[in-house]
Order: sequence, then C-alpha cells, then structure tokens
Amino acid sequence: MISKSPAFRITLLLIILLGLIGADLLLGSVRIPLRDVFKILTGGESKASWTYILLNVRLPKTLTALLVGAGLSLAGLMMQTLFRNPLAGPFVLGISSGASLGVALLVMASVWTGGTALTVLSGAGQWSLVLASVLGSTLVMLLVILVSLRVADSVSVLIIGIMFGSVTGAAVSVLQYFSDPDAVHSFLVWTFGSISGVTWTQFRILAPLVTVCILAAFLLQKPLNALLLGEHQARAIGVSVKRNRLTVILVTGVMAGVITAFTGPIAFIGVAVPHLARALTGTSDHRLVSPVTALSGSILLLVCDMIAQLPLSNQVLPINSVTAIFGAPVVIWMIVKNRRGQQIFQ
Amino acid sequence: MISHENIILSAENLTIGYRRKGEPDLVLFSSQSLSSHPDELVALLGPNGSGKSTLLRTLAGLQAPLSGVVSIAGNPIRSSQIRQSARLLSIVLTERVEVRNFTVFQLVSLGRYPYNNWLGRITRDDRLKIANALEQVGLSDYAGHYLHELSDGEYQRAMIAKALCQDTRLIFMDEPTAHLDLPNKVAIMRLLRRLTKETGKSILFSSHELDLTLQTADTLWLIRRGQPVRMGIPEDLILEGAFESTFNTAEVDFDRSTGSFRMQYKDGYPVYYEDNKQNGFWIQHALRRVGFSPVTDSGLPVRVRPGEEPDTWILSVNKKISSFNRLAPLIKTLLDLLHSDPALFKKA
Repeated sequence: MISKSPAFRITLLLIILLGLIGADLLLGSVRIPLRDVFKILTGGESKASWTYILLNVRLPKTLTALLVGAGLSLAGLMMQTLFRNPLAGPFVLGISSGASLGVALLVMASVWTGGTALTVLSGAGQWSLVLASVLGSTLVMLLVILVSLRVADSVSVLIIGIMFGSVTGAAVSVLQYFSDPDAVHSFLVWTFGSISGVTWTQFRILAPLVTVCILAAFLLQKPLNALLLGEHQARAIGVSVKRNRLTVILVTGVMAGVITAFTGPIAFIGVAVPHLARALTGTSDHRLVSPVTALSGSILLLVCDMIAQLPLSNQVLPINSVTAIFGAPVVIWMIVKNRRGQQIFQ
Repeated sequence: MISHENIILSAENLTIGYRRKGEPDLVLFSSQSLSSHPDELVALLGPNGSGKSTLLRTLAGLQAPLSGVVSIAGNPIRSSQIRQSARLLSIVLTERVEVRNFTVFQLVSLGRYPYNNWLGRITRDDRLKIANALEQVGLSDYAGHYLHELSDGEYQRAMIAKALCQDTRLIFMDEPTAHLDLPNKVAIMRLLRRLTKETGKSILFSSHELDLTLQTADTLWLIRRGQPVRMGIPEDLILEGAFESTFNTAEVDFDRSTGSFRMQYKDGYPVYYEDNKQNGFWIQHALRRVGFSPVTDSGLPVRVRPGEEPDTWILSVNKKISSFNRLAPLIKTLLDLLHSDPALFKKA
C-alpha cells in the first residue's frame, strides 16, 4: 500500500467502487454508450429501449449487487468474530439451508398441487418464493436463537447451527429425490443464485431491511472488538456476551435471510471478503475492518456480476459459480498463509 | 486494626459451591469474613480442585454464592450488572487468546470499554491512561507491536496493562505466572507487588508458585476444600502449621524451616550413608531420586561414603571397595547391583 492512512484506503476503495458501478451499468448484452447512460440517469431523453433496460434491468441489479455484497460480507465478518472461526460465514448457522428447504417445499409442492414450477418461479409466483425462503430461514434462525439462549458458549451454538443446516439440507435432498425433474431443475436454478432477477418492487423491500442490518453491523463494532479476545475476556471488561451474541445472530440472520430470499444462496463472498479486508487493512479492529469489508464486498460482487454477464455474449453465468471461482482461491490462500510456520511446540 | 472505610473487597458469611438439581448443594467451603485493602497483594493458594477458581468467580460476581454477600468498595456485586462491575473490578485471565493483526495498543485500549461511548472512541484522556498503563508494565515501546508477536511474558504484561487501564481499585488474576519461565515469573511477581504499592490498588491472584508467592505477597488466603479459608501474612501461617494442613499429602511434605515442599521417599531401598558433612547434599539427592534411602544403619551390606579427595565417593559392597569421581557411574553400579542381587538391599 502506498499510504498507511485508513482514510486514504477507504477513499481509494470508494473511488474503485464508483468506477465499478459505472462499469456495471455500461456492461450488458445491449451496448448503451456512456453519454446516454449519464443522460438517462440524470433524467434526460434517450432511446426508449435503452431507458427501459438501464432503469429497470441494470440499475436495480447494480444496486442489489452493492447491498448484497456489503451485507453478506458484514454478516460473514460478524460470524467469524463471534465464533472466532476463520471459516465461518453468513450461512454458518444453517440460514441458507432453511431458506432452501422453504423454497424446495414450495417448488415441489406446487408441482404436486397441479401448478407448474415455472409459474412459481416467475411472475405472480415470485412473492410466494420470497415468502417461502423467508419462512424457512426465519424458522432455522429462531431455533438457533432459542439454543443460544440456553447454551453458554458460542462453539456449541455454531455446532448446533451446522447440525440444523445438515438436517434441512437432508430434507431438501429427500424432497428432490421424490420430485419430478422439472421441479428439481427450477429449484437448482434458484440455488445458483442471481442478482439480476431482483425487480424494483422487490428491491423496495430488500433495500431498507439490508440497509438497517448494515447500519446495525457498524453499531456493533465495539462489542465485536471485545469479542475478538474471546467470550471470557470480553465479559471481564464488561461486555454482556449473551445479549451481544443474540444481537449479532439476529442481525446476521435477518440480513442473510432477506438476501437469500431475493437472490438465492450466494456463496463464498461472506467467507472470503472479511479475510481480504483484514489483509488490506492489516488489522482486526472492526472500526476499520467493518467499513472496508462492506466496500470490498460490494466491489467483489460487482466484479463477479460483470464477469457473470460474459461481456460480448448473450449468456449469463450463475453468480454462484463466479463467486466461488473468486472466493475459493482467497480462502485457500488464507489457510496456506496461516498454517505456514505453525508448529506443535511454539 | 484497619478501619472499615479502607476495605476494598469484602465478603461476609460466604459459602461457595454449586447448586445442583435434585441433590443437596455442593459446598466447597465457607468463610466468616474475607477482605482486602488498598496496597495489598493477596495470594490465593490451595491444591488443585480446592475451589480457588470458584472463589475468584464468586467474588467477581460471575457465579452466585450459595450464601453471603460480596461487595467491592461498598457496592454489592451482582452478575446481572456486568458493565458496572467492570468499573469496580478488572480481571486478568490465564488463557492466551490468539488474535491476529491486533496491536498492544488496541488491546490495552479495550480496558477503557466500560467508560467510552458506543463507538469505543479513544479520547485524549484515554490515550494518556493507556500510555501510563504501558509504562507501568514496561511496555512503552510495544504499543504498535502485534499481540501474536509477543512472548508469553510480554503478553501477560499487556493484559495487566489492560487491567490497569480499566481504572478499578481491585484486580483479580488467575495464575498470572503460569506458562512463564523463572525470570519472567519473578518479574511479574515483582511487578504486581510494585503496582499495589504505587497505585494503591488491591490485587488478588491465585497461584501454585509457593516459593515466589511467599516472598512477595502481603497476605495469603489458604484454601482447602471443606475448611474455612485461612488468612494471614505468610510467615504467621507457616509458623502456625497452616501449610501442612492445607497441602500435605502422602507424597509431599512441607518443610517449615525452608518454606518449601519436599517429595517424600519413604519406601526406598536402604543404603548406608556415612554423613561427614562433605558433599552430602547432592549424593543423598541422587540416591533418593533413583529410589534408595540413605540411612545410618551400619549393618547394611551396601555402604557409600565420601572419599579422601573432594568430590570423590567410595562404594563398599560386602567390604569390596570401589572409588568414583562422578556420581553417574556410582548410581549406575548401585542400580546394576539392585537388579542382580536385590537381597543386598534388604535390612538384616
């Protein structure tokens, strides 16, 4: 890094982010010149088809990428700090598995009840899908919270969350096994994740909820810093561990649940970005890591979205494949880096 | 007599232990009255499982007493008021928590947690307190160092600085010298003593380091399960025989004259040792260590005595004499003898 000043780094990230927002709006199967993009965004006159594509397809998608990238990354950061586990992510408590179960039940039930899976996944069915996803993830989150109120240490909460994930995952597998191929295919498409399917109507629900959770994540940075030292040390300096754990789980649950409902389970961003942010800032202090995590998350998801568009072609890759191809090397790098030089007798 | 206003920690009619479902409470011990005062360095000593940690937890309000009231500086301690307690009491724990990319300054600044705003903003006043705490533990040049780069001794000092920064009149420490080498143990003990005298704080620590504790603590609390806590200055407790009743087991003996423990070697194979006060200590040490008992029973067939030259030893087995100028071959010969002819080591 050229300068060590945190303000400089955050400014740099903001500039990159703004550049990427512009680039994301420019890219797509239809080529819209930069001048017209500006014109349309500032309310000027342009070709009607361009105006429609930009305002109703690209803009909601770009804004969704911004919020989802920041939200999932912050959720991952909070889980990693709370559980003191570098491999924790936003879905570690089984929240995405819960959402999957909800969606799987809906998709497959709609086939049995005569409706076809396709009507569920498009048009009028979009709200039932969101609802099913929210119900599934909320149910799992409530179970996890119930457990966290009874169990004294976070590691047990983590293990139980993973167990819930396994159970719901297994239930989804059973459902898939007994369902017809069309329904399974529709469900699989949902699991690939997509940020381009979010409409303005959906965005109006997604945006305020995720924004509130992002703000809450920033407000939590003081207890999160204390939790870096482990629950016992945190308690010793006056942190109410149980209450803060509950808040962190709640914020993460709502954020991950809402995002998953609208975009499907987007993997890897939440696990990988906090590590990137810590590497970029050289600290674990949440006062700096939280904003850098949010910015990097938005940046990374925008980049992934642009790659997923496969510039100059009409194909769109599933966003999950792209985030995984980006995310996996980061996680591998982090593990190799941490394991190097670690020995039994220190 | 110390006046009542000068009491920092006080616990009246305390009974500690655990409540159990469907069974009577498990009582570890009870005590009429426990107290600590300004400038006082108090050491909690007791065998493993005696309840030292339970006592510390109870006094810190992390666990409810079976009966009795604990108060710090006149404020009753309740587990529900964690934030308030953190302004009365700071705690230094044994476990070393690995945090990557976290500096000493950031750690010590967490000591201001109970005081600063929701953002954890560090004011100029806080900075002063942090710098002061770092100076007191001798880590002034380490503010920018990462925690994972610190040695165990430096880490412990950083944790102590964090506790100092918390601005409490009372500090609890759970085995502050565990994991440290001897020079660091001594340094930490001296530091604790100096801190109580310089800051007027009262420091209460649990320990298994008898030697060092006897030399530094103002007051000892001796804890044994089922017995009331015995409080006093180290020397009084030794002369009263409190250590024997707290620590003695079949395998160790407290030596009142030196204030240290000795392993008991009651069942060694007897070897005659003729004591002429020269080099006697280390040869007896070696004999006991490998399982012999030096005795002054001249009827034994195996006999060891110092030679004419300094640092030489004579072994005689049924009047057959061999001479050694190092202890290792002598011990090896004895062990070989024991193996080939155990009858030589039986009392006649």
